[in-house]
Amino acid sequence: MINKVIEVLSMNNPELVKSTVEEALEAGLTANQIINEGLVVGMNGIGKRFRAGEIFVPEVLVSAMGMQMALERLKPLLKEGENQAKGKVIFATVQGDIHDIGKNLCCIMLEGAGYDVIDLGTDVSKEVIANAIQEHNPDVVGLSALLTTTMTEMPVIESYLQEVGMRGKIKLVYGGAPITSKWAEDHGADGYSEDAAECVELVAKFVS
Amino acid sequence: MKKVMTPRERVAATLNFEEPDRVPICIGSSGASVNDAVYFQLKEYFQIEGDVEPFRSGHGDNIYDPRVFDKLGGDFRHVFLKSNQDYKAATTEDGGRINEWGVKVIRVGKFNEWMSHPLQYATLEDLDTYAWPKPYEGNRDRDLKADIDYWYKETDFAISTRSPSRGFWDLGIQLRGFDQFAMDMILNKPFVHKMMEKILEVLLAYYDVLLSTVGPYVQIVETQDDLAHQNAPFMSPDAYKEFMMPYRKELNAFIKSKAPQAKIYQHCCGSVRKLIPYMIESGIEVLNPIQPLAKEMDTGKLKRDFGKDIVFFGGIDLQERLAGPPEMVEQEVKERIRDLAPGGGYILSPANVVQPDVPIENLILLCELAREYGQYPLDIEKLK
Repeated sequence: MINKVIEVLSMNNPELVKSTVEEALEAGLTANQIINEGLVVGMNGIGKRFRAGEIFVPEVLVSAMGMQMALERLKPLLKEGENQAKGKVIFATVQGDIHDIGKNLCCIMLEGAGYDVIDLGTDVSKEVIANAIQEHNPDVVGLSALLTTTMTEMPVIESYLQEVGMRGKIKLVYGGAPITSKWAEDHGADGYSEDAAECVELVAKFVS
Repeated sequence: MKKVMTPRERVAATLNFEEPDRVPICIGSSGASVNDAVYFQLKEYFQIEGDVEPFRSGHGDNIYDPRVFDKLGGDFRHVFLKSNQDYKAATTEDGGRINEWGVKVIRVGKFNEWMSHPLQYATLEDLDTYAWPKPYEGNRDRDLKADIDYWYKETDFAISTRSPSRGFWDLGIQLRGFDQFAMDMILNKPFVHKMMEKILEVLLAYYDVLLSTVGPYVQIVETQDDLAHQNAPFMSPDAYKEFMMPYRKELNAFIKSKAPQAKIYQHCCGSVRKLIPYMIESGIEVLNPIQPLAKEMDTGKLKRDFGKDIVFFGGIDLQERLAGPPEMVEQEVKERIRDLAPGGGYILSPANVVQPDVPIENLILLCELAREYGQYPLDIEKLK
Protein backbone atom coordinates (compact mmCIF):
# COMPACT_ATOMS: atom_id res chain seq x y z
CA MET A 1 0.00 0.00 0.00
CA ILE A 2 2.75 2.44 0.92
CA ASN A 3 4.34 1.89 -2.50
CA LYS A 4 1.07 2.91 -4.08
CA VAL A 5 1.21 6.20 -2.15
CA ILE A 6 4.78 6.79 -3.33
CA GLU A 7 3.92 6.07 -6.95
CA VAL A 8 0.67 7.98 -7.15
CA LEU A 9 2.42 11.32 -6.58
CA SER A 10 4.06 11.06 -9.98
CA MET A 11 0.87 10.25 -11.85
CA ASN A 12 -0.11 13.86 -12.60
CA ASN A 13 -3.44 13.43 -10.84
CA PRO A 14 -3.96 15.19 -7.48
CA GLU A 15 -7.44 13.69 -7.03
CA LEU A 16 -5.96 10.22 -7.29
CA VAL A 17 -3.44 11.13 -4.59
CA LYS A 18 -6.32 12.10 -2.35
CA SER A 19 -8.25 8.88 -2.90
CA THR A 20 -5.12 6.78 -2.48
CA VAL A 21 -4.50 8.44 0.87
CA GLU A 22 -8.06 7.50 1.92
CA GLU A 23 -7.42 3.93 0.85
CA ALA A 24 -4.20 3.85 2.83
CA LEU A 25 -6.00 5.12 5.94
CA GLU A 26 -8.70 2.49 5.51
CA ALA A 27 -6.03 -0.15 5.13
CA GLY A 28 -4.82 0.80 8.60
CA LEU A 29 -1.73 2.89 7.87
CA THR A 30 -1.21 5.83 10.22
CA ALA A 31 -1.04 9.42 8.99
CA ASN A 32 2.55 9.55 10.15
CA GLN A 33 3.45 6.47 8.07
CA ILE A 34 1.66 7.77 5.00
CA ILE A 35 3.50 11.09 5.20
CA ASN A 36 7.00 9.95 6.07
CA GLU A 37 7.19 6.56 4.38
CA GLY A 38 4.96 7.49 1.44
CA LEU A 39 4.58 11.10 0.45
CA VAL A 40 8.02 12.38 1.51
CA VAL A 41 9.70 9.47 -0.25
CA GLY A 42 7.56 10.15 -3.33
CA MET A 43 8.44 13.85 -3.41
CA ASN A 44 12.13 13.04 -3.07
CA GLY A 45 11.80 10.85 -6.12
CA ILE A 46 10.05 13.66 -7.99
CA GLY A 47 12.91 16.00 -7.04
CA LYS A 48 15.51 13.59 -8.33
CA ARG A 49 13.72 13.09 -11.62
CA PHE A 50 13.33 16.85 -12.04
CA ARG A 51 17.03 17.32 -11.46
CA ALA A 52 17.88 14.60 -13.93
CA GLY A 53 15.80 16.38 -16.57
CA GLU A 54 13.27 13.54 -16.84
CA ILE A 55 10.31 15.65 -15.73
CA PHE A 56 9.65 19.38 -15.94
CA VAL A 57 8.11 22.23 -13.96
CA PRO A 58 4.43 21.39 -14.71
CA GLU A 59 4.85 17.82 -13.42
CA VAL A 60 6.57 19.04 -10.24
CA LEU A 61 3.85 21.61 -9.55
CA VAL A 62 1.06 19.08 -10.05
CA SER A 63 2.82 16.55 -7.79
CA ALA A 64 3.24 19.25 -5.16
CA MET A 65 -0.46 20.08 -5.42
CA GLY A 66 -1.28 16.41 -4.74
CA MET A 67 1.13 16.43 -1.82
CA GLN A 68 -0.46 19.53 -0.32
CA MET A 69 -3.97 18.12 -0.66
CA ALA A 70 -2.81 14.94 1.07
CA LEU A 71 -1.12 16.88 3.87
CA GLU A 72 -4.27 18.89 4.52
CA ARG A 73 -6.12 15.63 5.08
CA LEU A 74 -3.40 13.95 7.13
CA LYS A 75 -1.96 16.64 9.38
CA PRO A 76 -5.01 16.84 11.71
CA LEU A 77 -4.68 13.07 12.23
CA LEU A 78 -1.11 13.20 13.49
CA LYS A 79 -0.62 12.27 17.12
CA GLU A 80 1.00 14.65 19.54
CA GLY A 81 4.74 14.70 18.98
CA GLU A 82 4.43 13.41 15.42
CA ASN A 83 3.78 16.83 14.02
CA GLN A 84 7.36 17.92 14.57
CA ALA A 85 8.90 19.54 11.53
CA LYS A 86 12.39 18.39 10.64
CA GLY A 87 13.62 21.95 10.79
CA LYS A 88 12.67 25.51 9.98
CA VAL A 89 13.66 27.39 6.83
CA ILE A 90 13.08 31.00 5.80
CA PHE A 91 13.08 31.88 2.11
CA ALA A 92 13.21 35.22 0.32
CA THR A 93 13.91 36.70 -3.10
CA VAL A 94 16.23 39.63 -2.45
CA GLN A 95 15.36 43.31 -2.71
CA GLY A 96 14.96 44.66 -6.24
CA ASP A 97 14.02 41.27 -7.64
CA ILE A 98 10.54 39.79 -7.90
CA HIS A 99 11.39 36.50 -9.61
CA ASP A 100 10.18 33.59 -7.56
CA ILE A 101 9.71 30.47 -9.65
CA GLY A 102 12.86 28.78 -8.36
CA LYS A 103 12.29 29.97 -4.81
CA ASN A 104 8.69 28.71 -4.86
CA LEU A 105 9.84 25.31 -6.08
CA CYS A 106 12.33 25.17 -3.21
CA CYS A 107 9.59 26.02 -0.70
CA ILE A 108 7.24 23.39 -2.12
CA MET A 109 9.90 20.68 -2.15
CA LEU A 110 11.06 21.48 1.37
CA GLU A 111 7.53 21.48 2.71
CA GLY A 112 7.00 18.18 0.98
CA ALA A 113 10.14 16.87 2.63
CA GLY A 114 8.76 17.74 6.06
CA TYR A 115 10.26 21.14 6.87
CA ASP A 116 8.52 24.14 8.31
CA VAL A 117 8.89 26.78 5.59
CA ILE A 118 8.37 30.53 5.97
CA ASP A 119 8.23 32.23 2.59
CA LEU A 120 8.85 35.97 2.86
CA GLY A 121 8.06 36.46 -0.83
CA THR A 122 9.91 38.68 -3.30
CA ASP A 123 11.70 42.04 -3.20
CA VAL A 124 12.53 41.50 0.49
CA SER A 125 14.79 43.91 2.36
CA LYS A 126 17.60 42.86 4.69
CA GLU A 127 15.71 44.37 7.63
CA VAL A 128 12.64 42.22 6.95
CA ILE A 129 14.86 39.14 6.76
CA ALA A 130 16.54 40.03 10.07
CA ASN A 131 13.16 40.57 11.74
CA ALA A 132 11.92 37.24 10.45
CA ILE A 133 14.99 35.48 11.84
CA GLN A 134 14.33 37.13 15.18
CA GLU A 135 10.71 36.05 15.14
CA HIS A 136 10.98 32.51 13.76
CA ASN A 137 14.41 31.35 14.81
CA PRO A 138 15.06 29.26 11.66
CA ASP A 139 17.85 26.77 11.03
CA VAL A 140 18.44 27.89 7.47
CA VAL A 141 17.83 31.08 5.47
CA GLY A 142 17.63 30.75 1.69
CA LEU A 143 18.17 33.75 -0.57
CA SER A 144 17.18 33.78 -4.21
CA ALA A 145 17.88 36.13 -7.15
CA LEU A 146 17.42 35.85 -10.89
CA LEU A 147 19.30 38.94 -11.96
CA THR A 148 23.00 39.64 -12.11
CA THR A 149 22.12 43.13 -10.87
CA THR A 150 20.31 41.88 -7.75
CA MET A 151 22.46 38.90 -6.78
CA THR A 152 24.88 41.46 -5.32
CA GLU A 153 22.28 42.08 -2.62
CA MET A 154 23.11 38.66 -1.12
CA PRO A 155 26.51 39.59 0.37
CA VAL A 156 24.93 42.86 1.55
CA ILE A 157 22.38 40.83 3.50
CA GLU A 158 25.12 38.55 4.77
CA SER A 159 27.17 41.39 6.23
CA TYR A 160 24.03 43.03 7.64
CA LEU A 161 23.22 39.81 9.50
CA GLN A 162 26.76 39.82 10.88
CA GLU A 163 26.34 43.42 11.93
CA VAL A 164 23.16 42.71 13.86
CA GLY A 165 24.65 39.56 15.39
CA MET A 166 22.41 37.01 13.68
CA ARG A 167 24.73 35.47 11.15
CA GLY A 168 26.05 32.83 13.57
CA LYS A 169 22.56 31.58 14.42
CA ILE A 170 21.67 30.40 10.94
CA LYS A 171 23.04 28.68 7.88
CA LEU A 172 22.79 30.93 4.83
CA VAL A 173 22.22 29.42 1.38
CA TYR A 174 22.09 31.13 -2.03
CA GLY A 175 20.38 30.08 -5.21
CA GLY A 176 19.23 31.47 -8.57
CA ALA A 177 20.13 31.33 -12.23
CA PRO A 178 23.19 33.64 -12.30
CA ILE A 179 24.75 32.25 -9.14
CA THR A 180 27.48 29.67 -9.14
CA SER A 181 28.81 27.57 -6.29
CA LYS A 182 32.09 29.49 -6.37
CA TRP A 183 30.41 32.88 -6.31
CA ALA A 184 28.25 31.86 -3.36
CA GLU A 185 31.27 30.58 -1.48
CA ASP A 186 33.23 33.77 -2.19
CA HIS A 187 30.34 35.95 -1.07
CA GLY A 188 29.58 34.63 2.36
CA ALA A 189 27.18 31.73 1.81
CA ASP A 190 27.35 28.50 3.79
CA GLY A 191 25.94 26.65 0.83
CA TYR A 192 24.59 26.87 -2.70
CA SER A 193 22.10 24.77 -4.55
CA GLU A 194 21.57 24.59 -8.24
CA ASP A 195 17.92 23.60 -8.09
CA ALA A 196 15.08 22.76 -5.74
CA ALA A 197 15.99 19.10 -5.34
CA GLU A 198 19.57 19.93 -4.42
CA CYS A 199 18.21 22.55 -2.03
CA VAL A 200 16.40 19.85 -0.06
CA GLU A 201 19.62 17.84 0.22
CA LEU A 202 21.54 20.92 1.29
CA VAL A 203 19.04 21.86 3.99
CA ALA A 204 18.99 18.27 5.24
CA LYS A 205 22.76 18.41 5.60
CA PHE A 206 22.58 21.60 7.66
CA VAL A 207 19.69 20.56 9.89
CA SER A 208 20.83 17.04 10.77
CA MET B 1 43.25 40.79 -50.86
CA LYS B 2 39.81 39.57 -49.89
CA LYS B 3 36.74 41.53 -50.81
CA VAL B 4 35.10 43.50 -48.01
CA MET B 5 31.42 42.72 -48.03
CA THR B 6 28.62 45.12 -47.27
CA PRO B 7 26.76 44.33 -44.04
CA ARG B 8 23.80 43.09 -46.09
CA GLU B 9 25.97 40.73 -48.14
CA ARG B 10 27.76 39.57 -44.99
CA VAL B 11 24.52 38.65 -43.26
CA ALA B 12 23.06 37.07 -46.41
CA ALA B 13 26.08 34.79 -46.73
CA THR B 14 26.04 33.74 -43.10
CA LEU B 15 22.28 33.05 -43.19
CA ASN B 16 23.00 30.74 -46.14
CA PHE B 17 25.66 28.87 -44.17
CA GLU B 18 28.49 30.34 -46.23
CA GLU B 19 31.53 32.07 -44.76
CA PRO B 20 31.35 35.84 -45.33
CA ASP B 21 34.36 38.19 -44.97
CA ARG B 22 33.84 38.32 -41.21
CA VAL B 23 31.34 37.27 -38.56
CA PRO B 24 28.41 39.73 -38.58
CA ILE B 25 27.75 41.67 -35.39
CA CYS B 26 24.36 42.71 -34.09
CA ILE B 27 23.41 45.21 -31.42
CA GLY B 28 19.78 46.24 -31.23
CA SER B 29 17.74 43.13 -31.96
CA SER B 30 14.88 42.07 -29.65
CA GLY B 31 17.25 39.70 -27.88
CA ALA B 32 20.45 41.77 -28.03
CA SER B 33 19.63 45.36 -27.36
CA VAL B 34 20.83 47.55 -24.52
CA ASN B 35 18.97 48.55 -21.38
CA ASP B 36 18.01 52.25 -21.38
CA ALA B 37 20.56 53.01 -18.63
CA VAL B 38 23.32 51.45 -20.75
CA TYR B 39 22.10 53.36 -23.80
CA PHE B 40 22.48 56.71 -22.02
CA GLN B 41 25.98 55.81 -20.85
CA LEU B 42 26.97 54.92 -24.42
CA LYS B 43 25.40 58.07 -25.79
CA GLU B 44 27.39 60.18 -23.39
CA TYR B 45 30.59 58.23 -24.02
CA PHE B 46 30.32 58.72 -27.78
CA GLN B 47 29.26 62.35 -27.25
CA ILE B 48 26.11 61.97 -29.30
CA GLU B 49 23.88 65.03 -29.14
CA GLY B 50 20.09 65.15 -29.33
CA ASP B 51 17.50 62.73 -27.99
CA VAL B 52 15.62 59.98 -29.78
CA GLU B 53 11.99 59.40 -28.90
CA PRO B 54 11.47 56.00 -27.18
CA PHE B 55 9.56 53.69 -29.52
CA ARG B 56 7.75 52.08 -26.61
CA SER B 57 7.53 52.20 -22.83
CA GLY B 58 7.31 49.71 -20.02
CA HIS B 59 10.28 47.59 -21.09
CA GLY B 60 13.97 47.52 -20.11
CA ASP B 61 15.04 48.70 -23.54
CA ASN B 62 12.76 51.33 -25.04
CA ILE B 63 15.13 53.32 -27.24
CA TYR B 64 16.45 52.41 -30.67
CA ASP B 65 19.21 54.80 -31.72
CA PRO B 66 21.28 53.66 -34.72
CA ARG B 67 23.83 56.42 -34.06
CA VAL B 68 24.94 54.59 -30.93
CA PHE B 69 24.83 51.12 -32.51
CA ASP B 70 26.93 52.36 -35.45
CA LYS B 71 29.63 53.58 -33.09
CA LEU B 72 29.78 50.04 -31.74
CA GLY B 73 30.00 48.71 -35.29
CA GLY B 74 26.82 46.70 -35.74
CA ASP B 75 25.84 45.35 -39.16
CA PHE B 76 22.08 45.74 -38.70
CA ARG B 77 19.17 48.09 -38.93
CA HIS B 78 15.91 47.04 -37.30
CA VAL B 79 12.40 47.95 -38.28
CA PHE B 80 9.59 47.56 -35.81
CA LEU B 81 6.10 48.50 -34.76
CA LYS B 82 5.69 51.35 -32.34
CA SER B 83 3.35 51.44 -29.39
CA ASN B 84 -0.39 51.99 -29.87
CA GLN B 85 -0.69 55.77 -30.01
CA ASP B 86 -4.31 55.71 -28.85
CA TYR B 87 -3.76 53.48 -25.84
CA LYS B 88 -4.06 55.22 -22.51
CA ALA B 89 -2.66 52.90 -19.87
CA ALA B 90 -4.67 52.82 -16.67
CA THR B 91 -2.49 53.29 -13.61
CA THR B 92 -2.86 51.60 -10.27
CA GLU B 93 -2.37 52.89 -6.72
CA ASP B 94 0.81 50.88 -6.25
CA GLY B 95 2.48 52.63 -9.17
CA GLY B 96 1.67 50.02 -11.79
CA ARG B 97 0.29 50.49 -15.26
CA ILE B 98 -1.98 48.14 -17.16
CA ASN B 99 -0.54 47.16 -20.53
CA GLU B 100 -2.54 46.35 -23.65
CA TRP B 101 -2.79 42.69 -22.71
CA GLY B 102 -4.44 43.71 -19.42
CA VAL B 103 -1.38 42.80 -17.33
CA LYS B 104 -0.22 45.12 -14.56
CA VAL B 105 3.41 46.17 -15.01
CA ILE B 106 5.41 47.65 -12.14
CA ARG B 107 8.94 48.99 -12.09
CA VAL B 108 11.02 47.04 -9.57
CA GLY B 109 14.62 48.21 -9.30
CA LYS B 110 15.85 48.64 -12.87
CA PHE B 111 13.30 46.35 -14.45
CA ASN B 112 9.64 46.24 -15.32
CA GLU B 113 7.85 43.22 -13.98
CA TRP B 114 4.42 41.66 -14.64
CA MET B 115 2.52 41.79 -11.40
CA SER B 116 -1.00 40.63 -12.14
CA HIS B 117 -2.47 37.76 -14.09
CA PRO B 118 -5.88 38.83 -15.40
CA LEU B 119 -6.87 35.35 -16.63
CA GLN B 120 -5.77 33.49 -13.50
CA TYR B 121 -9.31 32.44 -12.60
CA ALA B 122 -10.78 32.59 -16.10
CA THR B 123 -12.97 29.91 -17.66
CA LEU B 124 -12.96 28.77 -21.28
CA GLU B 125 -15.87 31.10 -22.01
CA ASP B 126 -14.04 34.08 -20.52
CA LEU B 127 -11.43 33.74 -23.26
CA ASP B 128 -14.07 34.69 -25.85
CA THR B 129 -15.01 37.91 -24.13
CA TYR B 130 -11.57 39.00 -22.94
CA ALA B 131 -10.33 42.37 -24.24
CA TRP B 132 -7.44 41.14 -26.40
CA PRO B 133 -5.07 43.70 -27.94
CA LYS B 134 -6.10 45.07 -31.35
CA PRO B 135 -2.95 45.27 -33.45
CA TYR B 136 -4.69 46.93 -36.42
CA GLU B 137 -5.57 49.91 -34.25
CA GLY B 138 -3.31 52.61 -32.87
CA ASN B 139 -1.23 53.48 -35.95
CA ARG B 140 1.59 51.18 -34.88
CA ASP B 141 3.19 51.20 -38.29
CA ARG B 142 3.78 54.94 -38.28
CA ASP B 143 7.14 55.83 -39.88
CA LEU B 144 7.62 52.20 -40.89
CA LYS B 145 7.32 52.81 -44.65
CA ALA B 146 9.76 55.71 -44.56
CA ASP B 147 12.22 53.72 -42.44
CA ILE B 148 12.24 50.64 -44.62
CA ASP B 149 12.43 52.67 -47.84
CA TYR B 150 15.44 54.51 -46.54
CA TRP B 151 17.33 51.61 -44.97
CA TYR B 152 16.65 49.27 -47.88
CA LYS B 153 17.33 51.62 -50.78
CA GLU B 154 19.79 54.13 -49.42
CA THR B 155 22.01 51.99 -47.19
CA ASP B 156 23.62 48.57 -47.35
CA PHE B 157 22.85 47.53 -43.77
CA ALA B 158 21.38 44.13 -43.10
CA ILE B 159 17.73 44.61 -42.17
CA SER B 160 15.78 42.71 -39.59
CA THR B 161 12.46 43.29 -37.91
CA ARG B 162 12.25 43.36 -34.16
CA SER B 163 9.65 41.18 -32.54
CA PRO B 164 6.31 43.01 -32.24
CA SER B 165 5.17 40.95 -29.27
CA ARG B 166 6.14 38.32 -26.80
CA GLY B 167 5.30 34.73 -27.62
CA PHE B 168 2.86 31.98 -26.70
CA TRP B 169 4.37 30.72 -23.46
CA ASP B 170 5.45 34.22 -22.33
CA LEU B 171 1.94 35.55 -22.76
CA GLY B 172 0.40 32.42 -21.29
CA ILE B 173 2.28 32.84 -18.02
CA GLN B 174 1.71 36.60 -17.93
CA LEU B 175 -2.02 36.27 -18.42
CA ARG B 176 -2.64 33.13 -16.42
CA GLY B 177 0.18 33.19 -13.86
CA PHE B 178 3.20 30.91 -14.05
CA ASP B 179 2.07 28.13 -11.71
CA GLN B 180 -1.47 28.02 -13.03
CA PHE B 181 -0.45 28.01 -16.69
CA ALA B 182 2.17 25.32 -16.10
CA MET B 183 -0.35 23.13 -14.26
CA ASP B 184 -2.99 23.79 -16.93
CA MET B 185 -0.74 21.87 -19.32
CA ILE B 186 -1.56 18.77 -17.30
CA LEU B 187 -4.89 19.50 -15.61
CA ASN B 188 -6.71 21.81 -18.03
CA LYS B 189 -5.56 21.10 -21.57
CA PRO B 190 -8.59 22.55 -23.41
CA PHE B 191 -7.94 25.89 -21.71
CA VAL B 192 -4.32 25.96 -22.86
CA HIS B 193 -5.31 25.18 -26.44
CA LYS B 194 -7.99 27.83 -26.55
CA MET B 195 -5.67 30.39 -25.01
CA MET B 196 -2.99 29.58 -27.58
CA GLU B 197 -5.57 29.99 -30.36
CA LYS B 198 -6.53 33.41 -29.03
CA ILE B 199 -2.90 34.49 -28.67
CA LEU B 200 -2.17 33.22 -32.18
CA GLU B 201 -4.95 35.44 -33.57
CA VAL B 202 -3.35 38.49 -31.98
CA LEU B 203 0.17 37.56 -33.07
CA LEU B 204 -0.95 36.99 -36.67
CA ALA B 205 -2.45 40.47 -36.68
CA TYR B 206 0.75 42.02 -35.30
CA TYR B 207 2.85 40.34 -37.99
CA ASP B 208 0.30 41.28 -40.65
CA VAL B 209 0.64 44.96 -39.75
CA LEU B 210 4.43 44.75 -39.59
CA LEU B 211 5.13 42.62 -42.64
CA SER B 212 2.54 44.17 -44.96
CA THR B 213 4.95 47.10 -45.13
CA VAL B 214 8.39 45.57 -44.64
CA GLY B 215 7.92 41.88 -45.54
CA PRO B 216 9.69 41.83 -48.92
CA TYR B 217 12.74 43.80 -47.74
CA VAL B 218 13.97 42.16 -44.55
CA GLN B 219 16.50 39.37 -44.12
CA ILE B 220 15.31 38.28 -40.69
CA VAL B 221 11.92 38.35 -39.00
CA GLU B 222 12.23 38.18 -35.22
CA THR B 223 9.91 36.36 -32.85
CA GLN B 224 10.33 35.57 -29.20
CA ASP B 225 9.21 33.11 -26.58
CA ASP B 226 11.25 32.31 -23.47
CA LEU B 227 10.64 28.59 -23.12
CA ALA B 228 13.52 27.63 -20.85
CA HIS B 229 15.21 28.38 -17.54
CA GLN B 230 18.87 27.99 -16.63
CA ASN B 231 18.77 24.21 -16.33
CA ALA B 232 16.04 22.96 -18.66
CA PRO B 233 13.04 23.91 -20.77
CA PHE B 234 10.05 24.88 -18.63
CA MET B 235 8.02 22.15 -20.30
CA SER B 236 8.78 18.70 -21.66
CA PRO B 237 9.43 18.26 -25.38
CA ASP B 238 6.11 16.39 -25.52
CA ALA B 239 4.29 19.35 -23.97
CA TYR B 240 6.02 21.69 -26.42
CA LYS B 241 4.82 19.52 -29.29
CA GLU B 242 1.30 19.35 -27.92
CA PHE B 243 0.70 22.94 -26.84
CA MET B 244 3.13 25.21 -28.62
CA MET B 245 4.18 23.67 -31.90
CA PRO B 246 0.83 23.66 -33.74
CA TYR B 247 0.37 27.40 -33.15
CA ARG B 248 4.04 28.17 -33.74
CA LYS B 249 3.84 26.39 -37.11
CA GLU B 250 0.86 28.50 -38.14
CA LEU B 251 2.62 31.69 -37.11
CA ASN B 252 5.80 30.73 -38.96
CA ALA B 253 3.86 29.79 -42.10
CA PHE B 254 2.14 33.16 -42.03
CA ILE B 255 5.44 35.00 -41.63
CA LYS B 256 6.87 33.07 -44.58
CA SER B 257 3.85 33.98 -46.69
CA LYS B 258 4.51 37.67 -46.03
CA ALA B 259 8.32 37.54 -46.19
CA PRO B 260 9.32 34.46 -48.19
CA GLN B 261 12.97 35.48 -48.51
CA ALA B 262 13.45 36.15 -44.79
CA LYS B 263 14.68 33.75 -42.14
CA ILE B 264 12.57 33.33 -39.01
CA TYR B 265 14.38 34.08 -35.77
CA GLN B 266 13.26 33.03 -32.32
CA HIS B 267 14.59 34.48 -29.11
CA CYS B 268 14.49 31.92 -26.32
CA CYS B 269 16.70 32.22 -23.25
CA GLY B 270 18.06 29.43 -21.14
CA SER B 271 18.65 25.73 -21.59
CA VAL B 272 16.57 25.13 -24.69
CA ARG B 273 18.58 22.34 -26.29
CA LYS B 274 15.94 19.66 -25.70
CA LEU B 275 13.44 21.69 -27.74
CA ILE B 276 15.71 22.72 -30.62
CA PRO B 277 14.80 19.80 -32.92
CA TYR B 278 11.12 20.70 -32.61
CA MET B 279 11.74 24.41 -33.02
CA ILE B 280 13.53 23.58 -36.27
CA GLU B 281 10.60 21.35 -37.27
CA SER B 282 8.21 24.23 -36.60
CA GLY B 283 10.12 26.45 -39.01
CA ILE B 284 12.58 28.36 -36.84
CA GLU B 285 15.75 29.10 -38.82
CA VAL B 286 17.70 31.42 -36.51
CA LEU B 287 18.07 30.77 -32.79
CA ASN B 288 18.85 33.50 -30.27
CA PRO B 289 20.41 34.11 -27.75
CA ILE B 290 22.44 30.88 -27.13
CA GLN B 291 23.10 31.39 -23.43
CA PRO B 292 26.41 29.55 -23.01
CA LEU B 293 26.30 29.04 -19.23
CA ALA B 294 22.86 27.47 -19.27
CA LYS B 295 22.80 23.70 -18.96
CA GLU B 296 23.30 21.70 -22.18
CA MET B 297 24.17 24.87 -24.11
CA ASP B 298 27.77 23.98 -24.90
CA THR B 299 28.28 25.94 -28.11
CA GLY B 300 30.62 23.42 -29.70
CA LYS B 301 28.09 20.63 -29.26
CA LEU B 302 25.20 22.80 -30.46
CA LYS B 303 27.09 23.67 -33.64
CA ARG B 304 27.96 20.02 -34.25
CA ASP B 305 24.43 18.77 -33.66
CA PHE B 306 22.29 21.54 -35.18
CA GLY B 307 24.68 23.79 -37.12
CA LYS B 308 23.49 22.59 -40.52
CA ASP B 309 19.86 23.39 -39.77
CA ILE B 310 19.84 26.55 -37.70
CA VAL B 311 21.79 29.81 -37.60
CA PHE B 312 23.11 30.74 -34.16
CA PHE B 313 22.64 34.35 -33.13
CA GLY B 314 24.11 35.67 -29.89
CA GLY B 315 26.35 33.53 -27.74
CA ILE B 316 28.30 36.13 -25.76
CA ASP B 317 27.81 35.34 -22.09
CA LEU B 318 26.32 38.11 -19.95
CA GLN B 319 26.04 36.10 -16.75
CA GLU B 320 29.75 36.24 -15.97
CA ARG B 321 32.09 37.13 -18.75
CA LEU B 322 30.83 40.36 -20.32
CA ALA B 323 30.70 41.89 -16.85
CA GLY B 324 34.19 40.56 -16.05
CA PRO B 325 37.73 41.81 -16.70
CA PRO B 326 38.83 42.51 -20.32
CA GLU B 327 40.74 39.25 -20.69
CA MET B 328 37.54 37.38 -19.86
CA VAL B 329 35.72 39.29 -22.62
CA GLU B 330 38.49 38.35 -25.03
CA GLN B 331 38.35 34.68 -24.06
CA GLU B 332 34.58 34.71 -24.54
CA VAL B 333 34.80 36.20 -28.03
CA LYS B 334 37.43 33.68 -29.07
CA GLU B 335 35.52 30.67 -27.74
CA ARG B 336 32.21 31.59 -29.33
CA ILE B 337 33.74 32.38 -32.71
CA ARG B 338 35.79 29.18 -32.61
CA ASP B 339 32.73 27.09 -31.75
CA LEU B 340 29.98 28.75 -33.76
CA ALA B 341 31.49 30.58 -36.74
CA PRO B 342 33.06 27.81 -38.87
CA GLY B 343 31.12 27.47 -42.13
CA GLY B 344 29.07 30.62 -41.53
CA GLY B 345 25.74 30.41 -39.73
CA TYR B 346 26.77 32.63 -36.83
CA ILE B 347 25.83 36.21 -35.98
CA LEU B 348 27.64 37.48 -32.91
CA SER B 349 25.84 39.48 -30.21
CA PRO B 350 25.50 39.63 -26.44
CA ALA B 351 23.31 36.76 -25.25
CA ASN B 352 20.55 39.12 -24.13
CA VAL B 353 19.71 42.75 -23.57
CA VAL B 354 22.87 44.28 -22.05
CA GLN B 355 22.23 45.25 -18.42
CA PRO B 356 23.80 48.02 -16.34
CA ASP B 357 26.21 45.62 -14.61
CA VAL B 358 28.18 45.44 -17.86
CA PRO B 359 30.74 48.28 -18.11
CA ILE B 360 30.24 50.00 -21.47
CA GLU B 361 33.98 49.70 -22.06
CA ASN B 362 33.46 45.93 -22.17
CA LEU B 363 30.71 46.26 -24.75
CA ILE B 364 32.93 48.45 -26.91
CA LEU B 365 35.80 46.00 -26.47
CA LEU B 366 33.52 43.11 -27.38
CA CYS B 367 32.67 44.65 -30.74
CA GLU B 368 36.32 45.50 -31.49
CA LEU B 369 37.46 41.98 -30.68
CA ALA B 370 34.61 40.46 -32.67
CA ARG B 371 35.83 42.33 -35.75
CA GLU B 372 39.39 41.24 -35.10
CA TYR B 373 38.84 37.56 -34.35
CA GLY B 374 35.84 37.16 -36.64
CA GLN B 375 37.79 37.53 -39.90
CA TYR B 376 37.33 34.65 -42.35
CA PRO B 377 39.07 32.39 -43.03
CA LEU B 378 39.14 31.84 -39.29
CA ASP B 379 42.54 31.58 -37.68
CA ILE B 380 41.79 28.65 -35.39
CA GLU B 381 45.22 28.84 -33.73
CA LYS B 382 44.56 32.43 -32.70
CA LEU B 383 41.16 31.44 -31.32
CA LYS B 384 42.51 28.86 -28.87
